[in-house]
Amino acid sequence: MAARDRARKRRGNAWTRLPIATKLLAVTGALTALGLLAVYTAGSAYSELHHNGDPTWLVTMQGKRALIGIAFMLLCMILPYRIWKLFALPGVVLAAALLVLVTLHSPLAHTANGATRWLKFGSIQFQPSEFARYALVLFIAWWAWKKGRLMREFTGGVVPVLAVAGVFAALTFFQPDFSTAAMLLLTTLVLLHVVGIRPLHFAALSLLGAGAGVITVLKSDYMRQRVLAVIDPAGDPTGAGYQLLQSFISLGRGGLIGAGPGGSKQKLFFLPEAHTDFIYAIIGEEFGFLGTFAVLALFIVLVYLGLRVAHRSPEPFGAFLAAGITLTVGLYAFANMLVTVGLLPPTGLPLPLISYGGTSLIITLAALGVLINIARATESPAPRRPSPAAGRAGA
Amino acid sequence: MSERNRHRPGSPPARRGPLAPMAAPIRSARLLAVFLVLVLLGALTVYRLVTIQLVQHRAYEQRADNQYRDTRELEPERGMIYDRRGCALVENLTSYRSVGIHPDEIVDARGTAELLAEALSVPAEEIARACEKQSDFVYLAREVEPGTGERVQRLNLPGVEVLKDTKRSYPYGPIGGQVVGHVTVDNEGGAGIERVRDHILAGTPGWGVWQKDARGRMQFDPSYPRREPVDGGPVTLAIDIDAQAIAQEELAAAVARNQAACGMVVVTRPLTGEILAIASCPEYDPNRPADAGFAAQKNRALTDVFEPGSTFKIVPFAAVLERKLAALDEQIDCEQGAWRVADRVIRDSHSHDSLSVREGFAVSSNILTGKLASLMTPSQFYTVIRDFGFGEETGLDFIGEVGGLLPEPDEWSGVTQANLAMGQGIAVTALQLAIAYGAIANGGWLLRPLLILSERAPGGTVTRYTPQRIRRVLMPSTARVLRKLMVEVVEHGTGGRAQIPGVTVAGKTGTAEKPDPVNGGYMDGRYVSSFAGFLPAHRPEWLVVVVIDDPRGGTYYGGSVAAPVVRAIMHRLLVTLPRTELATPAETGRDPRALPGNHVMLPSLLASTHGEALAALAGLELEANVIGDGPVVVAQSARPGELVNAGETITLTLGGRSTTGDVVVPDVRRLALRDALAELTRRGLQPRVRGSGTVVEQTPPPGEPAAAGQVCELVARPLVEALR
Repeated sequence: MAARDRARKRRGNAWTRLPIATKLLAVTGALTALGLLAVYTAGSAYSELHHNGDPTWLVTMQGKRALIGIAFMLLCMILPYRIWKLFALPGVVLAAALLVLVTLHSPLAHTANGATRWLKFGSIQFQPSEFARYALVLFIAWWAWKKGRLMREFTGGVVPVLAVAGVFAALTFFQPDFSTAAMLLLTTLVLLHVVGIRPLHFAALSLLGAGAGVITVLKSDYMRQRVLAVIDPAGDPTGAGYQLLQSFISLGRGGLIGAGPGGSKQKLFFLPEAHTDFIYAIIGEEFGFLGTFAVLALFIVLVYLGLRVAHRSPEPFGAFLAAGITLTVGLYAFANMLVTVGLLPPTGLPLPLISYGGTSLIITLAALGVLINIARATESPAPRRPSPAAGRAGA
Repeated sequence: MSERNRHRPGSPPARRGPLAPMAAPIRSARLLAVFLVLVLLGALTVYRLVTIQLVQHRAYEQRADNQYRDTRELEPERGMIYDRRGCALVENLTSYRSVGIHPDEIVDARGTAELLAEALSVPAEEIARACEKQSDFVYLAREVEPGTGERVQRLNLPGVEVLKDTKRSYPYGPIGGQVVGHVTVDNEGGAGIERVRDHILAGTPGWGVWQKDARGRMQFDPSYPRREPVDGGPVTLAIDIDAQAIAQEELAAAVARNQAACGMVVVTRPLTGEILAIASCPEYDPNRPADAGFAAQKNRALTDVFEPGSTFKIVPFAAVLERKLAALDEQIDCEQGAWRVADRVIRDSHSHDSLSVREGFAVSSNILTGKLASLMTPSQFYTVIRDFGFGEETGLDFIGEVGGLLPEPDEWSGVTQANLAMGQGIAVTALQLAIAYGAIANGGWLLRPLLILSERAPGGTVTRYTPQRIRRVLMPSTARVLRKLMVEVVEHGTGGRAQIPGVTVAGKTGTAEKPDPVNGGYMDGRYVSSFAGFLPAHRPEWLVVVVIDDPRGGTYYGGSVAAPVVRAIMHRLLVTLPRTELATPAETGRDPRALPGNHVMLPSLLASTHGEALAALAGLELEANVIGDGPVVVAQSARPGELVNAGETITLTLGGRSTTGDVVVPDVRRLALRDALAELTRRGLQPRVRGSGTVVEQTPPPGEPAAAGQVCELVARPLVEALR
């Protein structure tokens, strides 16, 4: 008994002693692997129907993108994060340009499901709003680092950030992609809070944002319906509430331990967007509450670790960037899960690292690579294995 | 306030340099607040997950199951209709005649369009357009040529469906068409036996629960509940399809020859009341009921009435002789051919001074018959007519059967009784005439006509119908006398053209004027010619009634129009049909139930199970000798309806599904599991299944010989995987 306790303690210590960078890498890897499994099982029927009867088409595609994403992540883990300061302004300009290309329906723009959200270069599809999310985060981190205490001033500190975020959000809003626009603004707001704007400004902006959000929702029949569907999904099981109801059926069917990998029947086109926006519900169906809880816990751990990196980082740019990356991943994850369990209206937000979608996966992995680099830089010479990258960053 | 004081503008990079104090750039409280908000959202999510996944698990599972399952009706196979010798009068054809697509399931629109265009001879562009339609199902072709559907089925294209049709077909076409009837487009009984015995033939639909996806595609899962359909039971008719064919051919020829409006024929076995053939002309082909008018679909031999005329005279003669009101050789004054009754004059075609009763029948004297009838009171005469089955339905239980018209005695005027005696003022069906003459032929029993010999209720037991007496109308001795009178009609009287060398034929002619439905009275030159006859006269085997309505071929007497038809039919029956009683010497005049020499009528045992057949034979005091192996009787040594001696041994051949081996394992790969199971079971193999959906593997492989009952292992996968 005592021996086992000691062993358990030792194991616990082993995890605690691990560098944050390693833990982040482990959590990222776990989520990515889970994501590939989920895309395979949730997307097999869809894949078969739309890709010449090949149920593995989607997961093969996603696997290739995961490999590209991991390559980017490794690169970003090695590159000293400070280098990204150089890309803050060009990133904003590039993101805005790409968004303009999409929103103005340029010949490169690609439409699916009634919304124009993609650019198409030959066979490569790319979702600029995903890129814009991180470009905005980078910009805010850079701006806040550059301005320092000036961030406490409204016109000199806050307004330029709001301007950039506003342009991005407006361009996204007209794609139309209300939820991504809202998420851009929400991320900006939270990040402004973190980088140290005045509480009064934060409160005012929060109220303004909430008000704008409510008015937008009320003015659009489509969005109002979706909100109503959350309140009473059974009220209209074939219309707006259908998707939610099917999501609940998926989750509910899973029970505690789930129907097992591949056991989902909801993916047989009962649950729309099973391999993208509602993949969390399929995880719930196949792996039960244990599965959904595990994914939720992994995201909580990811956010915790990311915020610890931000907290520990002695250097403001790194701290802000770490907080920004963590928050944008975390907010998306929670928004997606809240939609799945019916606490938010159905939106088009992916579950980071898990949902099918190339741009999101690659760019999230790359961003987490940057976060890991910051972590390594922060953890000045690790106790036993000094990291060369961390050494350089600290020097 | 204090924060603002600490604010010192300066170059941030310099201040944040490595030498600057290591203060955290982000305040812990703010990070903590953000983290706590996210944890709170996480907690809310967990709360909802617990509610949905753990608390409401059962309810959602139930809901899920409901939407994955779809109950579909399983169609039973419609029961067969056999003639007395087991000839199938119907067929159930399964055909793949309609091709359609589910546009949203098409994988390769262009390829599909090209392949289908070739198979269906439909332009590829048209199919490609159909593939674009926002519809669940689009028909591409209906009623395609036989074989085309099967070819498309073999292409096995996703999203393409070939619909199975079951079509009832009638191999004998118009022969027996009015008896068998036809089915409606929904495969329900529309006419004839198909309609009357629909409750037997239709079977009981079953149901099965299929797994379905949100697009409504079905997959068979053996673990889902299911009730097999119960196929319709077979009905065996007393009809002999050869006799039916002969009767219809001869009738059609006679109707054409005499330029008649229509004709009717009934052929029975007078000893049992079985109807061997019954038809009217014009006839109709049940394969194409729409081509024929309703009049042709009717079996007029039992749905239409006519005034019989002299063929009816057998009734007053029978009544008078039975009551001994006149002797055979008694001379009756025939009034020189014109007899005044009340305000009317009854005439004979040839005037006679006086005739004996016997002669009066042979020459069919109206006056003599009227005088005989007047020997009875109206109610006596009326009762006799009723007893012979006129004025009411025969109890055949057939669609559209009518009972005819017979005025009640209180409606009779002074001349009615004499008129009725010569077959005027009464309307009868050919079938009524046949069973009335049947009583003369069989020794005095009015029998219920027998059209159905046996039937098996769906999944139930076999019901056999045996000859059924309605009443005795004559003493056997009277019947014998009447038969002799009828022989004289054929040998010396009006029915001479019914003679067949070597066989004694008994018969009676009838020539009736057609009543004028508009002006009352009778129409000039419009007649109904009839003849009722049986043979051999001493022990009647077959009885034939022929009615020719409105012959316009120059002659109209029953003796010249109808008698030759009866002769022709009987002659051909003699050549064609087996005869059981011709060899039996002198008639016995016995009750047909105690058939001569203790005979019994063998029922149809075809399609009965071994046990049922043995029980049926034991009930008839017959011995059984069983050969062959199988679940059902496929042959019996004596024909159904044949009269056999009690105690005789009947050999039954069992068959059906082979249980002796030599089965070839069919290729059931790529079949839906349900179809595969049905196929294997049909061949006597025992399927064992792993998985569900579509069969992807089988052991033993197709083409292998296998013993019956051998296990055949199938591996099935859901369609989505099997398609790979």
